[in-house]
Amino acid sequence: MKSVELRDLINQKRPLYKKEYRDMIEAISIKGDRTRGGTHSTFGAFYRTYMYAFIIGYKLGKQNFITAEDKSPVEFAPIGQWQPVRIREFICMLILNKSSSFGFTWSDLEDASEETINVFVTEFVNQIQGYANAGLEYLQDKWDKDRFEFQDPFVFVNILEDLNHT
Amino acid sequence: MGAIIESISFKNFYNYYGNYKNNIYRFKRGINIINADNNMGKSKFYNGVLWIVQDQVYDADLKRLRSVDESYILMASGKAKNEEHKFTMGVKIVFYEQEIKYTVLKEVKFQKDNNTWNLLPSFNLLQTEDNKDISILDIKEKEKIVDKLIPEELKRYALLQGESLEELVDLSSKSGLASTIETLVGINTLINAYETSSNFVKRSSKDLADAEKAANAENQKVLELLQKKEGLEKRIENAQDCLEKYQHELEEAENTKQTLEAHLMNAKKREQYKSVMDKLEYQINEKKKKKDNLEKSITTEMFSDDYPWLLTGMGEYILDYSSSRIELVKQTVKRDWISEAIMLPKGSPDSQSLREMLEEGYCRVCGRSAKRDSEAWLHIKKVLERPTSKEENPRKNDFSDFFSNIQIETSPFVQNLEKVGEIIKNYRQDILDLDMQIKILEEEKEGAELEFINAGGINNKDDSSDSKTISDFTYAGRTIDQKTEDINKVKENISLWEREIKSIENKLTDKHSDENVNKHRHVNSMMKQLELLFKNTKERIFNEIIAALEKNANEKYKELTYGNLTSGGKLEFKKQTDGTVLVSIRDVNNNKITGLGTGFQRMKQLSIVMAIISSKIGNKQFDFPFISDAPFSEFGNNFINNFFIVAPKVFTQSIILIKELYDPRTENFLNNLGDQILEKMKKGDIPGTFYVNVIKEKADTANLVTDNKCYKL
Repeated sequence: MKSVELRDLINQKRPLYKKEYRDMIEAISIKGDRTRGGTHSTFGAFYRTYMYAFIIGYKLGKQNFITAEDKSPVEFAPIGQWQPVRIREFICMLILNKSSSFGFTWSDLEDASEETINVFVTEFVNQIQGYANAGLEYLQDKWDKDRFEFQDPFVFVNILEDLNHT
Repeated sequence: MGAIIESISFKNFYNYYGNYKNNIYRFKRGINIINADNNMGKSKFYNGVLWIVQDQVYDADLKRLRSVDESYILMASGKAKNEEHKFTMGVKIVFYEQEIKYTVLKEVKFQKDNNTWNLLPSFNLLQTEDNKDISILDIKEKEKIVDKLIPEELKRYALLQGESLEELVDLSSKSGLASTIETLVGINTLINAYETSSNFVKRSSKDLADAEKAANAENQKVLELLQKKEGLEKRIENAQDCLEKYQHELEEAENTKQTLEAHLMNAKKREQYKSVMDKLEYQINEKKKKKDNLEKSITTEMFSDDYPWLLTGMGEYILDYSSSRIELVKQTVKRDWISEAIMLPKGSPDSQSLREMLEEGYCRVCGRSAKRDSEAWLHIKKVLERPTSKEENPRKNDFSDFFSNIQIETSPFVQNLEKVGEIIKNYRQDILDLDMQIKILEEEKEGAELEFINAGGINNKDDSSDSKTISDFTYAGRTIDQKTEDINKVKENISLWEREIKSIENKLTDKHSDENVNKHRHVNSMMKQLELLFKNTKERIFNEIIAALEKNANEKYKELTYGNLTSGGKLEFKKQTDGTVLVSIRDVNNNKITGLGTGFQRMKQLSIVMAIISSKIGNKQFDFPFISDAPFSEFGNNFINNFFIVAPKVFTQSIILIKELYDPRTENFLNNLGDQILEKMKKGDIPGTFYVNVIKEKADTANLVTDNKCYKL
């Protein structure tokens, strides 16, 4: 298998998030003005919220995987459509940095069968989901407990900075 | 003897919520200060006095007095209206006049039925003499007693409110001047006598003409002269009508100019502050837009292509990745080298032989068993599956581009992410700087708004009346010039015709000596002398009064402006062609000073008021309460100080509603000047009382409740 095929496999994948976070994601993605009376603290695109949540989960070092008990998880935009490309690639890089922790060394991948590669890609996306849903869980908690904080236009920066210091 | 107010109290009146005992102000001779910020009840207090003395209140929105009958609902406490279905609103003034105590009480009972207020006004007056209370029932008697508090003719001088100070003494209109002169000396009888004598002159002139005609019925020449005289008299009469019309128009234009002049300084100021406010508002909006854009861009910056804030502090992961990739490349190269090294020597089994060995489970090279899946069997399998040449890649997949592309995409971040922390810090600072700039501009705008309001501006700054005031002022000036020219022309004509008549009269006298005609001529001459006598007396009294008023007003003006850095000049009272008086401010070289601030203009008026009040009663004090709700802010601290020194010399009792001693930031709500004046009062240097109005708790205007603190009684 060539790099392009692996890239295609990954790009076609649509990561999932848990249904319980849907309202919060909508609120901070496009309907921020509903609670803040302003529009400045919204992300605009869902996939940005998802990328942001991923970084939070990653910084926390925590994963919240989708399990069979999670009913009707919501499908997200295909990874290939995420913008900016550089940040998407950075996320891929972060997952690849940890690939051996979920059973795949890079050199093994060079020898792996197509079936194994498919398993790898599934796990790759599962890892993204794990971090992103952990980040969403964290945001949901903040959203529920201190919604006032989201009136601050710097709220998303503040959250990241807080995590850098912990 | 005049009146002295002992107390004024309110019940559910505007901000003054609650009973009379909770809203009582006790006063003494001297100066009684009520110090309060905007919206803390100064004008409401003043309206309480107006209700009692003239059944009116001043409507700040309409900028005019309104009858209380149409204002009761507005006058009632918002809190009482909101919380109660039945209550009483009222004002009570207790005053002394000639040792007799009077308690004047005006009230309205409010009762709500079906969401409509039913109102029942009442007016009670109690007279207390030698500890005996007598209820005054007759309405005329009640009104007469209320007049004792402030006599009708003195109300315009004793009650000062807002900008009305500038229109208070109008000597430039005939009615204004007459009213002032009458207030001072009461010369109505003299004026009536002059008018009567004028009528006598007219009648005797007609009788004389009739007698002359009768005596000269046959003398054509005399008749012609008489006819010519009659014609001239008719022309003079018409010219006088015309003169009166011009003088009326001139007076109107002067009135307009005088009224506008009083407002002109403020109108110009308001225009100036309006422009400042507009400019500042534009700047504020621009800064706000900029700040808004910066705030809205934060999430865009989070996902910036070059400096993504999202990845702040994550540069190290790129290095980890880079290390892993180097490791992968090393492994790949090593593996390729190993593949090359295991090429078999000549004579080794070929692929077919190796496949057969695997099927048989036997190694033909060493002659030993190689059972399926045993170490030896796996070795044979490995040899079979070995790469056969360097060109043939031994790896199944080639993901090197996949890994390297990721590195290419992310590698610019290695350096950029280090700068993101600083970028965020600067971005935050930019927003803080904008906040600070907006705050400063808003403070400047508030300052301009305050100046705008102090200059008589109302909330609606888009009001275009100020520019109209300025253009009307210019137009009035032009009208005055035109009418003055017209009047002079008519007067010249009248004078010419009068000389002609005199000449005719001389000719007629020479021609005839009829006894009847002579008798009429004698009566006519007497009447003319009498008319002249009354006219001259009236003019002399007018001139003397104006001269005395000018002298007195200048003394007060000097005292009020004492210590000011800018010279306020001196007041000049100049008689106009129509007999009215124009007051202007002159410098030491007798040139008219224009452009002095509103403070000086108001001081001019206040000096005239004080002069009128002083002149009225010789060297004695004004024996009636003087109540002022006029803004002092234009005067400055020096004037306020001077005023508190001069006022007790002129007014026996004054009640001054003032905000210029107020400072909400201090514990006692007084600024430095307030503290100084209070100290002087406590020492007895300034006689009187000192109150500060406070708001019990923050509320909207409808529910505002004013309380008062007495600092000196």
